[in-house]
Amino acid sequence: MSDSSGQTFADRFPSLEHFLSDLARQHAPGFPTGVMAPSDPSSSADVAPTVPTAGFEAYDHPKSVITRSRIRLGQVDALRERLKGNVFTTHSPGVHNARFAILDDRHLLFTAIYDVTLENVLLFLQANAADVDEIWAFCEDYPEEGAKDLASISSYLSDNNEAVQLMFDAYIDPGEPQVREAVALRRNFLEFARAVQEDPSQILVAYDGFLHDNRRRIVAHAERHWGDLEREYTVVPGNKTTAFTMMSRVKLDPVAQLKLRAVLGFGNLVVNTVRINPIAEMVTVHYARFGLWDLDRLMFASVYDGDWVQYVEDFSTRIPFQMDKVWGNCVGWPEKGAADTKALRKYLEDNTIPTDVFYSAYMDVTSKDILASYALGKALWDFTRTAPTDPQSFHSRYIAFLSANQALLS
Amino acid sequence: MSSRVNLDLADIQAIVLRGFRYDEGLPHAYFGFVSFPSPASARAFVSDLLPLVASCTDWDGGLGEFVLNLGFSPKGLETLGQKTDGFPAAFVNGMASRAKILGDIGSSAPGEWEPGYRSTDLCATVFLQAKDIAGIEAGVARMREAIGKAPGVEVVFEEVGNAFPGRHPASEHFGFVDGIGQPFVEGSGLTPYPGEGTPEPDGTWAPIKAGSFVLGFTDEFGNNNYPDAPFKNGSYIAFRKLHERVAAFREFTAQMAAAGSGNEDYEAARLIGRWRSGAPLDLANEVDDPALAEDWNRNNNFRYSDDAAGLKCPHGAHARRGNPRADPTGPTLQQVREHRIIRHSIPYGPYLPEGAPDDGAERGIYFMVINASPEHQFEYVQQNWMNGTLSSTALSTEIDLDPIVGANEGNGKFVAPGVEQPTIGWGLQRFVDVRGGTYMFMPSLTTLRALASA
Repeated sequence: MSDSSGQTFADRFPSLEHFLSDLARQHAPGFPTGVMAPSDPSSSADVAPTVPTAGFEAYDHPKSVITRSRIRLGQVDALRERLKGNVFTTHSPGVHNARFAILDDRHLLFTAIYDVTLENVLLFLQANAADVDEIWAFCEDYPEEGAKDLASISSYLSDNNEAVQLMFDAYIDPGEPQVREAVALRRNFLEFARAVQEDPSQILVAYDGFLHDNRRRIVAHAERHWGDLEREYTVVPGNKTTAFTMMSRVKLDPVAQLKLRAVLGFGNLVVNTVRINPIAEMVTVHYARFGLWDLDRLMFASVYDGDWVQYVEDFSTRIPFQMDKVWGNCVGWPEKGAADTKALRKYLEDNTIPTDVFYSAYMDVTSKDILASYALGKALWDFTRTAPTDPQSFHSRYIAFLSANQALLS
Repeated sequence: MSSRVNLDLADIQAIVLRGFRYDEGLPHAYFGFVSFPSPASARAFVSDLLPLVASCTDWDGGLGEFVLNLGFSPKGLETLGQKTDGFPAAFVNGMASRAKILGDIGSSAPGEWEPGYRSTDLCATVFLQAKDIAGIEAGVARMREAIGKAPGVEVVFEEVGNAFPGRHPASEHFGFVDGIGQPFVEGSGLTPYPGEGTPEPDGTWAPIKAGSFVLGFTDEFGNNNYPDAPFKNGSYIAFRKLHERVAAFREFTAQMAAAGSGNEDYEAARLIGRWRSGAPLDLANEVDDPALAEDWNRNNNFRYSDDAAGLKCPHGAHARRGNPRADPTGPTLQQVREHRIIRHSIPYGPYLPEGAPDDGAERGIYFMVINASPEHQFEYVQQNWMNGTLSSTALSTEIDLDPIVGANEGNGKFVAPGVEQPTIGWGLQRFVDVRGGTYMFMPSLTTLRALASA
C-alpha cells in the first residue's frame, strides 16, 4: 500500500497505522481465532479484499433469560408503586434490554436479552443492585445477599427460570456494544461524507480524522470482541422502542395444547437450523419470545419500534398466517384470524400485560437503523483495509463505496 | 364516463368528495372561523345558511356564484346540542393536543401558532370556494347576513386563499402542480382513472371504499363504525395553514444540484416524486413530460413496483412516502389502502419569482385533508410515513424524514439514489411551518338540518 512517493497511507495518516496495528494484534494470543488476516502490505491497493467476511458469520446470537417470581401476599400494589421509581439506571455491557412486568396472577416477570453468557446479566443486575434488591424483596425467597452477590443472584434466577420455547431476533450478528457502536459509526461516517461533499480535496485528511475517532468501532465489527470499547456508557433516553408483553390463555383442549407445542417447537427448529426467520418481515421488531407455561399460559414478549397501530398492522398484514398457527390455539383469538386487524388489535390489547419497567441499551434506535449501521460497519472494514493511498484513487474508490452502499445511507 | 353512484351524494357536503382533483378545484377560497355565544344564535346561524350549503349533487349540477360548506368543532357541536361522546379523540381533543403525533414541534408547535388557531372559541368554519373573487365576496356578504340574524355570532378570524395569476391553477409556492394523486372513492360518481385506487395484482386498480371518507359506509377495514346519525354521510377535515419556506427550498435544491445532476428542477422533482408539471418520476425519470402530467389516464398509473432501489424515484420522496402504492420496499398493500387521504390545497401569499431573494413574506397553502378517521388516516400518515421511516424498509436513518413536511430541524438529510453515486442533500431543514390547524366535522345535510332545528 504505497503511492509513487514511496510513502504509505499509514506513514502519512497515523490513524490508519493504528488501524493496521489493530489488525496485527488480532493474531496475538487472547483474541478470538478465525478472524481475518491483516492485508499484505505489498499487495496492490486495487485488489478486492482477499479475505472474505467469514469472521462476521455464525455469531453466537443474543440469548434470553426470563424469570417469574411469586410476589408476597398483599404486596402487588406496593411493588407496582416501587416500579415507577428508578430501576435500571446503570448500563452494563452485554445486556441489550430488560423488563419487569407484574402478571395478573401475583407474579413478577423479569426478562433480559444478553450476549454470550448469563454472567452479563448477573453483572448488569449487580450494577443495579440497590434498586433490583428493593424490587425483588417484594417477592418470596429473594436471597438476603441480594444482587451484589453473583452466586446468590445466579441461583435466584435459576430457581425462578421459565422456559422460552421460541425466540426471534432481528439482527443475529451484533452484540450489544456493537449495536450502539455501529449506530455511532454510521452517524460519524455520514458526517465524514458530508465533509467530503463540501470539500473533496481534503478527502484523505477527513478520512484520517474519521478513522482517528472510529478506528476501534470498525475493528470491533470484525473482532466481535469489545474489550477495547468503552465500558462507561450513558444510555441515551429515547422513545423509539417499546416493550410489549402479553399473556394468553391456551384452550383447555389437549389437541390445541399439543398443536401449540408442536408449532413452537417447529418454529424453534426452523429458526435455529434453516435460519428462516418469520419476523424478518416485521421490520419494526427487535426481539420476540414465546414461553408456554403451566400448560395453558402462553407468554409473548417483544421489543418493537414506533407506533402501536403500525405494529399491530404489520402483524396483521405481513404474518397473519403464522400468528394464527400460534394464537389460534388460544382463547378469544379473532374468529377471522389475525388478518382481521381490528379484532386482532382488540385481542392484543385485551391480553396485554403492562410493562412496568423497560430498559434498553439503545432505546433511541430502530431495528432497521441497527441492521443498516451494522452492514455499513462491515463494509467500512473492507474499504479501510484496501483503500488506495493517493487522493485521486482514494476518491474514486470512495465514490464506488458510496454507490455500492447507498442503500445503507438513507 | 362516470362510475356507478351508490352514495347519497345529495346528503354529502360538496367539499368532501368534489373539487380535489387539480383540474376541478376552484381558484379562490375563503375560510371564516366563527364562534357561537349561545345555542339559539348557533341554530339561527346554521338555519340561515342551511339552504346555501352545497352537496356533491349541487356541485355536479353546475356551480353557483360560490360553493359554501360548513364544518364544526366539538365546541360548535356541543353548543348545537350534539354531544361529542363517540366522536374520535383526535377531533374531541383538538389538533393542538396531537402535536407530538403530528410532529408539530419547534417552530410548528401549537404555542407558536397564530392566535386564531389557539382560540378556544372556535365553533364552526365557513368554507367558501368560487371561480372568481366576486363570488367569494358574495359568499362572505351572505355569511355576514347570517351573522346579522344570529346575535353574538362572531368571526374570530378569517383566511383567504387564491391561486396564482398567470400560473397553473393548481400550483403551490414551491412551483409544483398539486392535487394529482388522489384516491378514487367507490360509489362517488366520479370518473375513475388508472392509479387512483389500490394496485391489484392483475394490473387494475381497486377503488378505495367509501367508508374511508364518508361515515356510515364500509371502510377499508371492512368495518362500518358509524352507520347512523349524526355521523352518516359526514366526514372530517384536517385543516392546516402551512407556511412554505420557498427560498430555503430553492437553496436546498441548488445544493443538491451542485452535488449531483446540476439540474435544480430535477433535484426538486426528486424531493417530491413528481416534476413541477406533475409528471411522476416513476414514469418520467430523466426529463419532465408535461403531456404525461396532463393525461389523467397516465399521470397516476404507476406503482414503484420495479423501483426497489429508488433509482427512478427516491424512497424518501414526499409523494412516495404519502402513497407508497405497490412499492416492494414499502408497507403492505393492505396498509397502503387503509391510510389514504383526499387532499385539497389552495395557496395564500404572493408567489416568489424564480431567482428573487427571500423577501420574508408570509406565503404557503391552506391544506385540507378529507378522511373518515383523522387518527387512522391523516395522523397515521403524518406520524409513521412523514415523520418516521416506516413507509419504507429502505429508509433506516432516523434523520431522513419527509423532505417537505417532516419535522426536520436542520439536522436532516435527503438521499437520492443514483446509478453512479447517490446525491445527498445535507442540513435538511423544515420547508413547511405549521401556522395553525384544526379538525372539523363535516356533517351530512340531514344532520345539519337536525342541528339547526334542535
